[in-house]
Amino acid sequence: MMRYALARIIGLVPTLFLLVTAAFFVIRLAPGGPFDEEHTILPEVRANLEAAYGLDAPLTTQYLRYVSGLLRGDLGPSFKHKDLTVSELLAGGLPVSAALGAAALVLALVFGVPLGLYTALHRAGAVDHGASMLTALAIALPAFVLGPVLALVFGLWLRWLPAAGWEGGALRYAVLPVITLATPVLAYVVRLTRTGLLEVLGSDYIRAARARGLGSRRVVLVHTLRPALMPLVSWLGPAVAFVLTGSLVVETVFGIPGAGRFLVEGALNRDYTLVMGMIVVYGVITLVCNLAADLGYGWLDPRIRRH
Amino acid sequence: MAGSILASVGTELPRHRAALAAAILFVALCLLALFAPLLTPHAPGAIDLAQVAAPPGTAGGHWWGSDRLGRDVFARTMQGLRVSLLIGFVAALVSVVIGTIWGAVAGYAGGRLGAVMMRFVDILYALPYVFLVIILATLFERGNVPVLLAAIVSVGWLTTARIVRGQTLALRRREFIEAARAMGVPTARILWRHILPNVAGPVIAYATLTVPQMILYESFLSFLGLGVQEPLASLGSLVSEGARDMETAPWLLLAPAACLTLLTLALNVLGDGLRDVLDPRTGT
Repeated sequence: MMRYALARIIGLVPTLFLLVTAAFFVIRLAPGGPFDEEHTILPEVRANLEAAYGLDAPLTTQYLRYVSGLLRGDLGPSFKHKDLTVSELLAGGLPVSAALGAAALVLALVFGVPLGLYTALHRAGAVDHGASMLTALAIALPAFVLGPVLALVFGLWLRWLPAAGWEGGALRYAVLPVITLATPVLAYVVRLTRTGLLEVLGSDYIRAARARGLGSRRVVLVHTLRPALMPLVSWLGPAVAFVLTGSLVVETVFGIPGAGRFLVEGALNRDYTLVMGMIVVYGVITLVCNLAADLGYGWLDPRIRRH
Repeated sequence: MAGSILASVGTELPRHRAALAAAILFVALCLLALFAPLLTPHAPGAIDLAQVAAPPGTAGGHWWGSDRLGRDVFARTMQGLRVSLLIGFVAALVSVVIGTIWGAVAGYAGGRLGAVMMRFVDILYALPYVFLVIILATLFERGNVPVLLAAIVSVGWLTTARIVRGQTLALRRREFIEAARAMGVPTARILWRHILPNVAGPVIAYATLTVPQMILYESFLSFLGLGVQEPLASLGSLVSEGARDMETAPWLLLAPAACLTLLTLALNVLGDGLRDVLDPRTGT
């Protein structure tokens, strides 16, 4: 298992390298540059600006410079946010995005797993039917619809909660964004837990256990819980990517100062280093979470663990 | 094969009541979008200065109200619905064709080539799709529909490729494929005549699920301002516009939001139902 884990961790390096390389050159294919909007600047000033940021060098040189900076943990200066480095910008936004995403994931798991187990144990009951309708609706509802509608109803009409803002993550401000982000995740958690448990409950060894007299629901649940939750564990990796995407929208809808906006803003402004920084950081987060989910899955499944 | 797919859908889907209701809702939405111009005297871009930001009602024939420029909300929402449907269907079709070919070739070839092809899919799968989509969408000038389609297709084909590859791997070892190979049938013909018809069921089911996914991706980009541009509108750009004015004119948000939700809900439920009927792995 340790060797397997180590091999998988080393395997991340080429993937990341490919990602950085592909992203670096694809971004440069786009027409325009970071200093395009400043129409009034003299050609000489522009040349000086480009020289100062190293943009006058051949693309391959720039690429090598970027990668060597990256290896030293330097994400470079931002082209648009003068006087700030990409690391400083991300350090301001990432904790906010992370808090938002983590709160949504925890909320989804805390409510989703018990609900999924309950619906599986009371299959075709009233709660099961209701939950299956609600999860279908929650999955169909994109964050950019749910967010504004929640803000309209609870923020502007009922005035129970603020419709936008963050205020350092104060609970009143966090409720609507976290619910918006958590809703589709919660729906997936319910579905995965439900089908996971149903599948295990129908398997031979559970039927054998039942035949031997282990009839009570509680005993069955003790034997089934671990295998039943495995599909959910392997989904948690992709779930992080899903939450990162969702937080992009939620931050826009509720005006939250997270890191998500840097991706769109950076891409539109041709702020090359900012976009690259976002891709590197979010890429590492997703790849590591995917790997962690895979390893967790292997650890939970003794058939994989032994190899 | 096509006949048997139709037959199983025809006999089993009606028993799936939720999927049947979803199918009816979907057809109703399509008909509404298509015949909307007959239902309202207003053109989607026409400006009615006598009725600016009018709430829903009978004033000026704007049942769903009008926006800040005096444009009819019903006519604009229906235009957005048509654009979203069109983009969703075209993107899903292209995605499914690419994914099927990629998956069938990777599964049938196997070995190194197959492994490399699927590793590529895995890498794209592991990344948040926004990277790809946003970068592609910003590569060219905004509102370029072919680029928009390319951006959402670039992530849309992945699931189909995985499913088709899994099915093809299993089929490859079956006797009738080996027999065809032994008789010297060319690979392309085996893929076309033997593999493709056998993966058609799950592919159709997942294609139905790809359409709402593509509609949502497009709406997501339009919401961020990277998708279709004025005067053209999709449901996503209308939601984005409506969210800005929701304090004074909530109907601008609620009309496209409701249409988008009903549309994706109908397609998701229909796709789930078709998958239950057509995908052998879900055990029917």
